[in-house]
Amino acid sequence: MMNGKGSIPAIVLTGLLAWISPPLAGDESQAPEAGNPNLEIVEGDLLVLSGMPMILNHEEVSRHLTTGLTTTFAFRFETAAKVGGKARGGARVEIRYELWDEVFHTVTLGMDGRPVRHQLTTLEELHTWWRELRVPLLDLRARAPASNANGSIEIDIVPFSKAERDDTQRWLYDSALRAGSTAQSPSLEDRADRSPTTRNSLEQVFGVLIATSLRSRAVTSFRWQAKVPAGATTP
Amino acid sequence: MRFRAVLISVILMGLAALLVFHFFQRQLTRASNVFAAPPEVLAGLEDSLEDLKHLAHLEPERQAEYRRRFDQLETTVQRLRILEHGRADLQKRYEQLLLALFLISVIAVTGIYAWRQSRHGPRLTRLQEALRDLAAGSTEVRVGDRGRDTIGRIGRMVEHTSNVMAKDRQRLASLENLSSWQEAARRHAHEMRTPLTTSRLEIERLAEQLEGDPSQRATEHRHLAESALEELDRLSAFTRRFTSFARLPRPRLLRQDLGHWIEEFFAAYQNAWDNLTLKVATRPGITGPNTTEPGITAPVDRDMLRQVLVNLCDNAATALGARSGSVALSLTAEENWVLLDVTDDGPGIPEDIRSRVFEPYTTTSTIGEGMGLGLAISKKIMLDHHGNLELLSSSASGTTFRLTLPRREAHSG
Repeated sequence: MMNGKGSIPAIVLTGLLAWISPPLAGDESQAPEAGNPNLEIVEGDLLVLSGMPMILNHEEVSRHLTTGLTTTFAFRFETAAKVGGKARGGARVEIRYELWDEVFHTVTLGMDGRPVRHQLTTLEELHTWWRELRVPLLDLRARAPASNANGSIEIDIVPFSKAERDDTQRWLYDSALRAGSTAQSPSLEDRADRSPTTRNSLEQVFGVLIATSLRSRAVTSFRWQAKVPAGATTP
Repeated sequence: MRFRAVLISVILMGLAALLVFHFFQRQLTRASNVFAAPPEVLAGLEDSLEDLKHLAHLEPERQAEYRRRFDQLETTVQRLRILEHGRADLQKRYEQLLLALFLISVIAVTGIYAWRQSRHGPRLTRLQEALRDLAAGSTEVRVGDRGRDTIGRIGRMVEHTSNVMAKDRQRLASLENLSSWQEAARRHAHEMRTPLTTSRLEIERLAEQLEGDPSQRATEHRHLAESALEELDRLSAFTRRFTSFARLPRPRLLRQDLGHWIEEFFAAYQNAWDNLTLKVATRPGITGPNTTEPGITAPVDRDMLRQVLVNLCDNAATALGARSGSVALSLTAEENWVLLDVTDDGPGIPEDIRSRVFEPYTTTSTIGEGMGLGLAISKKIMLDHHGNLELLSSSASGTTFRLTLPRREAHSG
């Protein structure tokens, strides 16, 4: 029997599940700015994204570009499954600002498998590079969507790279173990003699559990719709 | 009472769970404290990065050193930035782990409690059944729990109580049986004493009338009267013994050092029987006087207890007949009882009368030589001491009787 009181457990359960469940990647998808990007076919077998909207000016993106960490733009492309099945593709663009030299290093890795690197000295150059950026999203030789099919393009912006996250996780784990051993044996000699085998295994488990809670969560996302140009056919 | 027990259990379980939780959360908190860096620290480090760059411009000759320090600091700053970015995730993971640890602690403690309860359940059921049987008056209650905890101890106490009840019932039955025998003996003695006295007076008067008559007939009658009086004397002696059983006095209990008392008995009676040697043994392998354990005391009537020992020694001497033998007295003490074993090396009691050896008029002597009242009187005396007299063993190599005496004054009803 449902009544006013009966719904309370459901609310509590829902709240608990929401609290326990891992955070979903990214914030709310943002509305596209300054128009849509274009899809075009290059060399007859590569679906390329061009005419990139200037999302680098977006507050959530710009404030991460110059931190020294590698801002990662994860591209996902997907067509509707009405005709010929779903076609999925993707690419990754990384921008890292070198704090000492004060230059931008970019890497574009598309579905053609060829990383393209650039070094840019100013923010203006970076913006220009972004506008002219062409990102290979799909190798049409493997799976081609139907012509004029609607495709969705989504970019998740993560403020660091996987390698940087892994490094931080290792550092966090080591720091946690050092903190535990320091708390247990204040003597410097003891600390020096303390081998990993004598460390508290419980602290190691907790260290791993804490360190692995660091996730590559997107700070923001963008999504567009674009039509697949004619000529994209499966060989 | 039940609620109180449950409350105490819950409190103890809660405390145990909190202790376990506290132990684990300390490990977790140590591991987690490392990510608790305030934002001001990050801002300060970023300023330091700028400072290092300025310093490199100001001191170009030390640029390499500043670059190295810059790179090190930058790595730290980047890590802190990533931590800052993932702070919410870290915090949530920390809280989840705390909750999980708490739940594990509660489940573990509850599990242990439930496991203990499941183990104790059948034992408690057995104990409950044993107590129910005991309350119903059963004297053969067996719990069979050898545990060293409270339940095991209570089980053994229940069994001990059952044994005590069994012995008490046996004593009571013996007492009732002997009391009825005493009553019968008292009536018979009373019925016999009056005609005996009358007959004796008549025969004595007849003998007086014949006094001075020289005739042959008078002489014969005088002889007949003397003979009749002798028989009446024997009958009177028989009646007196009968009366002594019927009118056995109540013991006057006074606390005595029994070791000392036995030594006195030994000194007084060691030569009382021609064919019997007395031995006193309190420890295995040691015999003779002055070997009793000191300090074993019990409330006894010295004279009546002596009568019991004399009866037993009399029986042993009679059973030995023409050959010689010995009687050993062994005194030991338990928590509540004093045990005095009297062992002879005679031919033993015939098997067919062992079960009724304490009943009056049970004897192996020929008619006219013994009435079979000695053991019955001894048993009655010991029962009146709130103790007992038991036939411990009997075989062709000897017989052992056990005298049991309470160490403390019993409250007689």
